[in-house]
Amino acid sequence: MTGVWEPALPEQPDTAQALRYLGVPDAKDAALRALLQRAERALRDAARPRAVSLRAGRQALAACLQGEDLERHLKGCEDCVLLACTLGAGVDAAQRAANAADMAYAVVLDALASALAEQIADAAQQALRRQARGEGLFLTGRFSPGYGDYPIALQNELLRLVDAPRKIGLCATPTHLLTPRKSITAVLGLAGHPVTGSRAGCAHCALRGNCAYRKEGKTCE
Amino acid sequence: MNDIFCRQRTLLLDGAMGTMLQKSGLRLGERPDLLSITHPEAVEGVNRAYVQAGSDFICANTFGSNAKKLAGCGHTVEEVIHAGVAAARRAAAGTSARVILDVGPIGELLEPAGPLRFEEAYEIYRQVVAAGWHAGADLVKFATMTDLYEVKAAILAAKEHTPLPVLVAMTFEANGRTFTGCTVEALALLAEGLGADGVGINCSLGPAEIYPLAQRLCAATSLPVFIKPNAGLPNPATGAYSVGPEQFCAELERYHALGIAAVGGCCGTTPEYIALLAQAFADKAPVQRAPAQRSAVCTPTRTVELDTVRVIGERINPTGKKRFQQALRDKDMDYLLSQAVEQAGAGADILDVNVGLPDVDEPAMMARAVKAIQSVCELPLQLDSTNARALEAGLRVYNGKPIVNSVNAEQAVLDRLLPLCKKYGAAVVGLTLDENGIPPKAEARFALAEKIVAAAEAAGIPRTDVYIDCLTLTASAQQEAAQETLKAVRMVKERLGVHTVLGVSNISFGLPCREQVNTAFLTLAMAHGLDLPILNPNSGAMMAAVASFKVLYNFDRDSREYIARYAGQTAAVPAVAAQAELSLHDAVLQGLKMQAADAAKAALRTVRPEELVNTVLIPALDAVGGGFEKGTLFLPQLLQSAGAAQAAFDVVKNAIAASGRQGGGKGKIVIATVKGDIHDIGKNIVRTLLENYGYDVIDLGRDVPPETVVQAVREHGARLVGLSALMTTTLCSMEETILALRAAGLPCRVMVGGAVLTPEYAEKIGADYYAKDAKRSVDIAKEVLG
Repeated sequence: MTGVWEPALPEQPDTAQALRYLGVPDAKDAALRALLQRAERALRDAARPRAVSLRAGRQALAACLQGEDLERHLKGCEDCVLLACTLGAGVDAAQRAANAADMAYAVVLDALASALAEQIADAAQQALRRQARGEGLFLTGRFSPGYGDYPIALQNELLRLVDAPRKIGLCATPTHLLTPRKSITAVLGLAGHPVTGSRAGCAHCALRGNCAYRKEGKTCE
Repeated sequence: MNDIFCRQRTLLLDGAMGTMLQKSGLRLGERPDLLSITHPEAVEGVNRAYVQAGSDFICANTFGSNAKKLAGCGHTVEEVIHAGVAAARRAAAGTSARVILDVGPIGELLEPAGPLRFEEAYEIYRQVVAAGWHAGADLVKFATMTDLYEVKAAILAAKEHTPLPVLVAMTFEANGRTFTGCTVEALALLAEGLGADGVGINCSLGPAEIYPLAQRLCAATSLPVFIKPNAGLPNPATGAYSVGPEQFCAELERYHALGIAAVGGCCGTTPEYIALLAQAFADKAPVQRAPAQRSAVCTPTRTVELDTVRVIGERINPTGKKRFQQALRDKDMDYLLSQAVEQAGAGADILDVNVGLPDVDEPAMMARAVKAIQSVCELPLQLDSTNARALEAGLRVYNGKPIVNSVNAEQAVLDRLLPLCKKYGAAVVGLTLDENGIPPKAEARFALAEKIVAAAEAAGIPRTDVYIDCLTLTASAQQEAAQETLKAVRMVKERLGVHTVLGVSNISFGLPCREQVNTAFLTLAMAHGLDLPILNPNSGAMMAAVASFKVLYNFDRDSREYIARYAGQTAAVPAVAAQAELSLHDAVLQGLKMQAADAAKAALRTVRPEELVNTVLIPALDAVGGGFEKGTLFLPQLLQSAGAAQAAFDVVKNAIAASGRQGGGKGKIVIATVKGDIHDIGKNIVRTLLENYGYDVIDLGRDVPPETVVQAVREHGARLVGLSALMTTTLCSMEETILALRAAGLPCRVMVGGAVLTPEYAEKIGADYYAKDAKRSVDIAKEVLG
């Protein structure tokens, strides 16, 4: 559960998720469907998904683990797996070109790329889970810097520990934003017994104040 | 081969430092470079082991010693580098081994992918190389680089601040590209152009995977080539590397035939590996390489070889374009960027960039334009100016190998511009004219071409990088001159053996149906040896002539490019009105750009521009905005309508510019994504909508410092400012920006937006308005500016 690999692009992009990001109920509109198809083609050309992970004891990773919500998530886990994955710099370049040419296309590309980044993180997580199961171990779900009260400021430290700049070309800005943009980092708990982890919930969420789901009495998951 | 490397013997670099230090107890997350201070004996031990194994060069433990990576560690860059170089010097004492200042990437992405500016990267490297030189390093090696822009900043810093020889190596994936998409060939062109002393490949892959990439590198450069592969690939479970010393050595022996100047190892290799290499290469002189003399220009991701006709797009040039002139004066990059993207889409290979206007700060604008275009378009650029300062500003920030357009045969011009081209490794266009003007006869133009080529070679620029322009004159004015130009092209191509370039369109000035004359002249010129026509790639006829020429002259093998471009199309026929015309209102509602532009053109025959905006365009946009608010229309449709309205607005603006009147803008709005934040798509949406409603939007981009916002508001007298931030971590920058605007006493209103903002927070940080979405920002603009 320590290594670098190239998650395969999914057969189908998660269009439903992209539509959700766009705030659009469905893809009945023909023009929107055309934009989605164009974005999918662009992403197939531009995306070079890469993932890197590092398994270590929680003590050794203490520098990038913090907060009550994460503590709850890792309950019962002695070890952690750090995961970082990215769609690569090509997607950002495609996005910049789209921004300069056509904003309708640009927002669709942005949404579909975000959905694709989630899919890649899901695939990476599944690969880690298979490895864990092979060793008779159990993994929690992903918990990312910025969830709940897990400070996003630890992004840089997490990347440094997994050597992400060198291994997959993923860096963070001084303000802790990931570059390339369509990238995901996360902590997963590892234990010898079944663990599920615990979601961050809304209590500490930065979007708590104006979350559209909460207004409707729902949650984002 | 320069004096670092050796004709008699393949030289030996060292092996890994980091993985060796890990074995000696470096803990997870510890900065290896600090061991030079805390455990100097361990570092010196690794260095010494490599000297004893036979390394001619050893790397000081300075790979991550830069201001960014050492921030907060309690030691200065100078201290850490001094300790690292000192350890290596002690290990090398009494031997002939030379000490390399080993320098890795900064660890943050440079613009345009990240917020680290090229100039900041240069400063970071300046500190590193100066410290290394003062500490006593013998040479500098930049290694494990993945971003060509960073390589450029690094080499420039080393060349401008130390006398040390400079080596540079990038790390590639098996597909021959770095993480940022940079190719082996682009590295070769840039490193050679900037005067590096050796170029190489290291890390990421084992010797078997790097071999084909090393072949490409050796074919692409005349510089000495070195390699430092990893010991194969690490085992995911154990982290152990897969290739042992004997296999490593056996695989590296294959490289000898490529003419490699020096070999070593990267991650996972040890002194044992190097000792075996020392034996294997002890009696091996490097094979003499004879890379083909090729002409090419590049960006990191696109190399354009001049092995066939290549089209240079001419559209980024304000001459005779009132709209573009106004955009330059307003420092509005959007127009220029849309021209770049459009020409790339039309099939241009290279883009000419001319931003010269009497009342524009050309050096500043050139640098800005080059950066902006390179952020959205991967085509190589031709920097077009007569202003040496503007050319240097552009050359300095250009990422890759560009073309300079142009010098001529006037000695003062050659003396002024050729050294710049040499320093920055640019190809150069030479116009066959001098202080006496353009000679009428081909023979005289040829003589000037000879002079230019000789001057370039004397300045250290190979003739493969000189492109001669024999100058197109206007057929309607000097009819006999067209043939002289063609004749000169042939003479230059055949007798001087250099590439040729011509601005094509000038031939038809003053004649009707200019495209026909242009196309005929272009075809003749290509048959006479023209390689680089400068033309409007949106001209289907001229692009078809180029595509056809490549088929007929056997450049386009099996007509593949031609078929890919034209299969399924019928030959061009005069456009006829295809469908019943849509009204402008309906075209905007349905988000149809071309129809909207056509409808606007039609309407302008009878309606004044301002009236069209107020009575048709704005009501149509209001209808779309109303649908968005009610939830019957969604963001993509809103933006498609905005795009259609934009197309109509372009027609209106052109009409206003053509009439010579000032644009009827409704007021200026400065918008920015605040310092530290790079998520700008929301701000871009807002810009699109505000422009739709006729506001003059000054878009300062992303990661914008407060003082830049203040300066822009003051300069433009903007009464409304829009700020966006996506992350909680950057909201503080928003507050700082508002405070700075208030402290400057500027009478502007501030609206803010972004995912994590709330109306309460907006009020708390002193904003006047909270815009929950882009539509709301338009309502706010109406309220503030009318």
